[in-house]
Amino acid sequence: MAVPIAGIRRPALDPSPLSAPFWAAAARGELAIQACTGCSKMHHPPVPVCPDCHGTAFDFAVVAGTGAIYECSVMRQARVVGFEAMVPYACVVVELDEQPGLLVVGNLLGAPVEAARVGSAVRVHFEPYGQGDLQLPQFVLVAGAKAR
Amino acid sequence: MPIRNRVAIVGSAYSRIGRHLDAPLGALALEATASAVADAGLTLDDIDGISNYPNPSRLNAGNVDGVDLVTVNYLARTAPLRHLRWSCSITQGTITSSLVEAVHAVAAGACNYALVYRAMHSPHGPFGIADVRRVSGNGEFLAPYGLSNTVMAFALPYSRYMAKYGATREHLATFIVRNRRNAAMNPDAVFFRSPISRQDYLDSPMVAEPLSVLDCDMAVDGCGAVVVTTAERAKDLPVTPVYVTGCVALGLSYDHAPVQTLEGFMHSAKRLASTLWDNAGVGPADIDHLNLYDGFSYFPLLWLEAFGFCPEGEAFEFIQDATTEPGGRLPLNTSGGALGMGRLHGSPQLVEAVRQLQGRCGERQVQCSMSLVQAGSPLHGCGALVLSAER
Repeated sequence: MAVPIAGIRRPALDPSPLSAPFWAAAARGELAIQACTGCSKMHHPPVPVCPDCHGTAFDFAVVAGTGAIYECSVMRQARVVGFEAMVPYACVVVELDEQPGLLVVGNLLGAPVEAARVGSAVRVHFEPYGQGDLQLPQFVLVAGAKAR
Repeated sequence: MPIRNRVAIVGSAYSRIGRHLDAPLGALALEATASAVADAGLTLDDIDGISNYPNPSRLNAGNVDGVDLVTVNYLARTAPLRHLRWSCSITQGTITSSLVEAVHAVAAGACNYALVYRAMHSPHGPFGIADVRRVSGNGEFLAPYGLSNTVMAFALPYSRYMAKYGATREHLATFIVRNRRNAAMNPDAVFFRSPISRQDYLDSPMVAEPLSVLDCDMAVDGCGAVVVTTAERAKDLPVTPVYVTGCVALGLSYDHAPVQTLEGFMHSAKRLASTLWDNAGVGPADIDHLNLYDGFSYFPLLWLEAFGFCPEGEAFEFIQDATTEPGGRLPLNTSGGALGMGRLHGSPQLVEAVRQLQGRCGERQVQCSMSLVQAGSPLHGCGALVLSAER
C-alpha cells in the first residue's frame, strides 16, 4: 500500500476562490472537479468562465477518482528543490473516467517508478499535505486492471 | 498582402558561443549584432528598427540587463543605435517570432533596416533548478508533485508519443547522432568536432524519463542576430539576399489542461503549419532544407508531422533513412541544431538557413533553394518562415 513520502518539502499552497473547493474536497478525501452548471462540462484546473458555453456558474462534482495514465515521466535527478529525497519519482497525468481529455496530475505511489506507463489503470489515493488539514490527491495502480 | 519575397534577410551572425564564456552577455549581444550589421554591408547608423525576445533563458534567472538578458533598451543605448524608429519586444517565442514582427514592420514601412537578435546566458552552477516556495494558479496542481522542472514538463508529451506510436530511444538515436555529426562540421557550434555514437546517446543519464541529458540542448553563452530590409533595398547592398517567402508567428494553447499534451501540441503546431503554407504560397514538396527547433530532441518529429512531410505518427520512422541527412532530399538541422550548437532559441535554425541559401556553409554546404525555419513551442510562442534563395 502507498505510504506517505517522508523528507520532502512541498510548496505552501495558496488556494484561490477558484481552486478552494478542490482542496476542501481533497481534505475530506474526495476528488472533486469543477463542473459547469450550464453545460455540465468538467474543467481542470478550475476556470472562471466555461470555455464551452461561457457560463460562469459552477459546482464541484465528486468523481470516482479512477482513470488511466495519459502521459508520465520519471524524475531521475534532484532538479526540484524540496523533492530531493523523493528522487526517483513518477509524475502521472491521469485521464479521468468521467470525461475524455479531463486530466489530473499526481505522483504514482505504492509501486516502483518503472510501473508508470501510459495506459495503466489507476485510482486516487490521498496523502497528508503537511499544511493544516490539506490532503493531496495521488494515484496508485489498480491491481489486476487491464491497461487501456 | 502576404510578404512573398518583398522582404529579405541581408545579414547574419553569431557571437562567440561557449558553455561559460569570459564575457558578459551584453558584450556577446554587441558582438553578434555588430557582426550581423557588418555582414549586411551596413553600419549601426543605418539600423532604424530592432526586435527581440528578451526573457532570461532559465528558471530563477536574475534580471540584470547585459548580464542575464539583453533588452532592446540595452542595445539602443550601448551599441548605440541612434536612429531607431521602431522597436519590439515579444513576450513569448524565440528569435524567429521576433523576426516575423520585424519582417512585417519592414514591409509596412515602419523601418528600413531591422536588427533581430536572441541572447542566451548560461551562468555557472546548476541550470534550471526549480525552487517553488509558494504556489497559486495552475502551479497548485503541479508543484505539489515535484512537477516544476522544465525537462519533466516537456517529457510528458513525448511519453505519450512513444506509447501511442511505438517510438523508442533507438529511433531517436538516428537523429541525435546525425545532428551531432552536422555540428561537428560547424565551427560556430559548441559541439564542433565532437560527434557521438548511438551508444553514447543510449547510455546518457536520464533527467526526466523519457528525456536524457542528450535529449536536452545544452545551456550556453551566446547570441545570434540577423538584419532584414526590403527586397528593393537589398539590391543596393553588397550581399546575397535571402528572401522571406512567407512567415507566421503563432503559439497558443487551445486545450485547457494542467500540463502540455501531445494532442495539444499537434493541434497548435498544425494550425501554425497550415497558416505558414497559406502565407508562403508553397507546400512541403517545395522545401529542400529543413531547420526545425530541437530544444528537446523529439520536437522535430512532431513538426515533421505537423508540416506534412510525413503522416502523423510516422516521423520516427521517416528519419531513419538518408532523406533527412546532408545530401538527402530534406537535410534537417545541418547546423547541428540546438542540440549541437547549444541552447540559443532558434538561431541555429535561422542563421543556418540564411547561410545555406547563400552558399556559405563550407564542408557542410547542401544543395538547397527553399528552406523551412521553425523555432519555438507551438504552445508558448513560435515563429516559422519559408526562406528562398531566388526572388
